[in-house]
This record gives sequence, structure tokens and C-alpha cells, in this order.
Amino acid sequence: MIIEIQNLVKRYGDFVALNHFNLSVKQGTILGLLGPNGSGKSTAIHCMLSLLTYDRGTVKLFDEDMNPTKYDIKRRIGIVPQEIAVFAELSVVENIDYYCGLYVKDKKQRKQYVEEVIQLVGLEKFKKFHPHQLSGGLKRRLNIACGISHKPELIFLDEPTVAVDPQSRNKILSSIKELNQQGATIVYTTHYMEEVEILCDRVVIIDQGQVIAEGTKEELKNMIRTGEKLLLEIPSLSQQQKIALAAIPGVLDVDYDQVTLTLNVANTKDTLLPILTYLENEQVPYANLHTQEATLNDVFLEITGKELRD
Amino acid sequence: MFWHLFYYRLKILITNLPLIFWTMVFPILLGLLFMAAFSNLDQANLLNQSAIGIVSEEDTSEFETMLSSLQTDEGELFTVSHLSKQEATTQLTNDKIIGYYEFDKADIQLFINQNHIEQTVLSEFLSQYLQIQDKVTVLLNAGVNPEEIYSQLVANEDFITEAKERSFSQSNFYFFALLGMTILNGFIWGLGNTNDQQANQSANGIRICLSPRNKFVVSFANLLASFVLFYLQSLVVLGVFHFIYRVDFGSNWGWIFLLIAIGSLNALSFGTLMGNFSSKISFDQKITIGTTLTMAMSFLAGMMGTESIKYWISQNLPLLGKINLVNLISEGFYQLYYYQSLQPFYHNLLWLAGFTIVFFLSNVYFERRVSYDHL
Repeated sequence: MIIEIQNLVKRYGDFVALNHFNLSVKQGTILGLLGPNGSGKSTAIHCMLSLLTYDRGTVKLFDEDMNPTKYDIKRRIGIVPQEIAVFAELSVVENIDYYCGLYVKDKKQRKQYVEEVIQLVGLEKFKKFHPHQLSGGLKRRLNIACGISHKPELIFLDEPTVAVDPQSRNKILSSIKELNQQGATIVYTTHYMEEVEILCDRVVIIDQGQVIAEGTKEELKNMIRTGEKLLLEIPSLSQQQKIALAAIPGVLDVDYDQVTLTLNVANTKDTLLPILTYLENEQVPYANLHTQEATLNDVFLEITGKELRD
Repeated sequence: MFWHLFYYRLKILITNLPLIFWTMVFPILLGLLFMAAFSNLDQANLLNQSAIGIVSEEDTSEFETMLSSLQTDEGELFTVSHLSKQEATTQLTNDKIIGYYEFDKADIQLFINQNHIEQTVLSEFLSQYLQIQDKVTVLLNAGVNPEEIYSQLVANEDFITEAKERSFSQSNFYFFALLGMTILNGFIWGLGNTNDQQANQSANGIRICLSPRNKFVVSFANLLASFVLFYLQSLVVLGVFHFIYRVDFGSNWGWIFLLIAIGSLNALSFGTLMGNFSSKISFDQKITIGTTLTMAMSFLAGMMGTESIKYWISQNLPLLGKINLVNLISEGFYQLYYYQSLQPFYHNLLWLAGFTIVFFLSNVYFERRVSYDHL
């Protein structure tokens, strides 16, 4: 295991930020650490890295107990903090060189690493720019480049795509995948469900400092009763009709928002025909019929009873 | 590694234009205002040749000889006329003379009708003359060789001669205080260092703390880079004051450079300590607190026309003067400029160096932490 955490407890006075937090991460994994704001994601990362003291528990990285003076372990780690951590006074290439230089002494090798990471995050045209001259998305890319330029084996990315344009987001996500393909293990915290679905091999859902669910995407989706979603566009639907639809065998839940009728069904194959028959009998016109599989958002909603971005 | 950190810290600081403006350009502009505001101040304090009277029936040649040692650029400070009591009173009333000495047996009395700087000199001269006279009488009565007494008097004369080379300058005094404030403003540089290297204060700090580098190496590289730049910057301000604004700093340049070096180190360590002290106060709030402290110290050091407060503190609350960092620095310039003996300056420098060591050791104590309770 690259990361092995057991019974980690972190308190701030009476507030328990991490409550017997356990986590194991295998080499080469992209682990998604999911949770709403204040759930303990960043605290967990900071405790793992020995930046924060903790009250109980053990943290092992690369099969060794982690502590702040374990420089050999630190050398193998990269971090991309949530806040953009670059110097406004330095250019793009200087910022990356500065941080890379904290790990790589050899100038020639450092120069090569800096060039490679600039290409990886797509900042070739902005090498001489200063951070204030970059858009939000480009700044985020620079933030990532500074954290990974020394080719770490374990990378912590703490919400790296907050407030980023779609083009930069795609670039960032593809860069992360590439890093993983090169052998890096990645811990990725976010509250963007779609990113986790695209990127992560395993997902850990954390709420109020505790791991509340863990597994692959498929395993998590299988945990909840929601199977698939059936969506139709309908101009109007009475309350009685809504109740009648909910009574059809196999229909788990019905929701209507004045345009879209959403039906959570156990199995589309068995329930689709009775639903459509009912609508035709009731002379309710419908259009744009399509199905949707359960998402991690549904998983989160089901487990915690709240939206991820609450 | 150390030089990598040092090089980039230099680059970060040298391209931080707001920092350079507030800690270098602003004091230079303030000095320009001082020039405009205080240029006539020294003129007002210049001593003019004045007429005085002596009312005596005895021989006063010894007294007059000593009086003639008081000189201005134009010659003797006082021109003496021998007058009767009535003439002296009339001339004093009509402002023909600024005062007169009346000799009555062993006693000498001074009569003046105004209280300007010339009259103060007359009074001070009389006081010193009487002291010397008493001293000589006591020594002669004790059987001390008159030649030995004379040699002591000559030594005293040398002192007067040397002191004459520099006249008191009010504007110099303000510039010394301004330079003291400028140097202490280096706390902002130290504060910036802490902000960038501590994980509980910035995201950059998180990255640096997670790097496989000893924190003390990072801190020391940052401190050295800021010291080199800030010291050079302070010398630029000194150069502008001296060569452009014509502020006379005396001739003890070696000690002046050392005072600025220790003052700079003191300010940087002070700022670093402020940064380390609490992570709950934001960087901007710390700058506000530090600036307020510096302004208060400058006020008490006499920079804002408050030299009487500085004087009162030195007489009644000397410890307050010794814990005022701006005062310690500006007083150092003052002592190097006016005092013949460097003893008070050494004493002052020791206080400043002592504070620097205390700040430095406190910073080591705070920065030895490698994990934090909060981020």
C-alpha cells in the first residue's frame, strides 16, 4: 500500500474533524476523495502529510510511518493545494523552476523536468507570463505544474479545478490521467462528481470526518436502491397521474419539475412499457425519452441525504 | 540548494514594487517634505553676534578672555562693553545690549530681558565659569600643582573646540529619526518571509513545508536575501539623504554602516517574529499593527516635532527609550554625529543587538515546529 491510515482522529477543541478515519490506497490508483465542504477532506490530506498534528491513529506512506522530517518520503510526494500557491513576482517558468529546485538539485535535469511539465499542462505559450497575466484556468494549470514538476510517485490534488473554464478543466483532467499512466498514484479531492466519474478508479465518500462509503464507482452504485433513471419531457402532469405512475411495479420514485418527468426505476426493461402505456391511456403527450444510469451524486444523496455541493 | 532559495528570494523581493515603494521611495519622498518644512529651522537657531555689557569695578579680564572663546563664523559671539549700572539698565531696556553681567565681589549676576538662544548661552557660560572657578579654588586649596590644573582646563578647551565643528541641527535630528523609522519599516520584509515559508500562513508555505528541505535552511536563505537587499536599500536612502538632501551624518561612516546593518537585521527579525507570533491574524492586519507600532515609536523618538517628548522620556522613563527600536537607531545616528565619546553609542548599539538576538532566538523557537495544530 502506498497510503495506509488507521483510526485517525483530529480534534479542534470540541469539534471532531476526523473521526477514526481509515484509508488504504494501492500503488497506481486514482483515488477520489469525495465530500461536501467541511467534511474533512483537506484535513485528512494535511494529517497524512504531517502538516497537521493529530490526536490518534497511524499514517504510513510507502510502508513507513510518516513524520515531518521524513525527507525521503517527502521527496516522493507532490501536492497541489486548493489555493493557488505561486509567487506573483515570478514568471511561469521561474515558479516551476523554484519549486522543482526544492527537490531536484541537478540544473540540467531540472530544466528538462520544467520543460516536460510545461508541455504536460499546456503552458508552452505562457512561459514568460507572470501569474497576474494568466486566466483562472491557466493559473490552476500552473499550480498543478508547480506541484508535479519533480515527478512525484504520490500526488495529492486538492480541488484543482475550482472555478476553471471547460477547456482548462479538460486539459487538467487529461494531464492527471497521463501522470497516472506514467505510474503516479493520485489522491484527488473534489466535490465535482463528474470529474470523479471520469478519473477515479476508487472512490471514498467522506462526511463529518468519517468514511461513509468506499469502493469502485460500480460498487458504490450497486450499494443504493436507485437503478436507472427514465426521463421524459411532458407539458403537464396532475398529482393523481404522478401517484398512479409511482404505483406502477418497478417504479421507485417519481419527480416532475413542470417540464421533465424523472422516474427512478429498478429496471428499465421491465418498467418502460407499462409507463408508456399509462401515459398513452391518459393522453399525456411526451417527448425526448431517454434513460440515465445512477450517478455518484445519487449515491451521495442516498447515503448522506444531502447534495454533494450543499 | 541554499543558493537556489537565496537567488529566487532575491528575485521575488526585488520585483515586489509595492514593497520597494513603501520601504524605500516613500521615506525618500517624506525626506523631501522634511527638507521643505525644516530648511529654515536651522537658520532660526543660528547664533548671531550680540552686544553685552559688564558692570564691574574690578578687573574682569580673565572672565572676558574665556568669554571671547565663544566664536561664530564671523568672529567672537559677544562684543563686550564696560558700562555703569545705569547705562547697562538703559541699554538693556532699549535693546542695545542683550544682557549684562554684574560683578559684585565674588558673585556674578546676569541680567537679561528676553529669553532667546543668545541669552541661554550667556546663562550657560556663567554657570560653567562659576563651576570652573570653584573647581580651581578647591584644587588650589588642596595643593594641586597649578600646571596640572591648567592641563585639565586645556583638555576642556579641546573639547569645546571639537564640539564647535558641529552645530546643533534640528533638521538633522528629524532626518535621523526618519532614517530610524525607514530601517524599522524593514519589518514588512520579515513579515513577508514568514508568510511565504509557514504552512499555516499561505499555500506557498504549505508547498515549502512539504518539500524535503530543512525549514531552517529555507528561513535562513530568505533572511539572508532580504537582509542583503534591505541593507543596500537603506544605504540608498542614506545616500539620498546625505548627498542630495545634504544631511550631515558626521564622519563615523564605519559605525554608521554597522548601525544600519544591525538595525536592518533587527527590523527583519522583528517582522519575522510578528509573522510567527500568530496565524489567526491576517498578513494585512499584521502590516497594519506593525506600521502603527513603528509610527508610535517614531513619535516617541521625536520624529514628528516631538523632541520634547523624547527628551522627557530620556530623563524620566529611560527604559522606554531603550525599548523603542526607532529611538535606538535614530539615537545611534545622533550619538555618532554629536558626541565626542563613542561610549553612549556602544551602549545603544548593545541594546539594539540584544533585541536582535532575542528576536532571532524567538524565531528559531517558533520555526522549529514542523507540524501545526491548525492550517
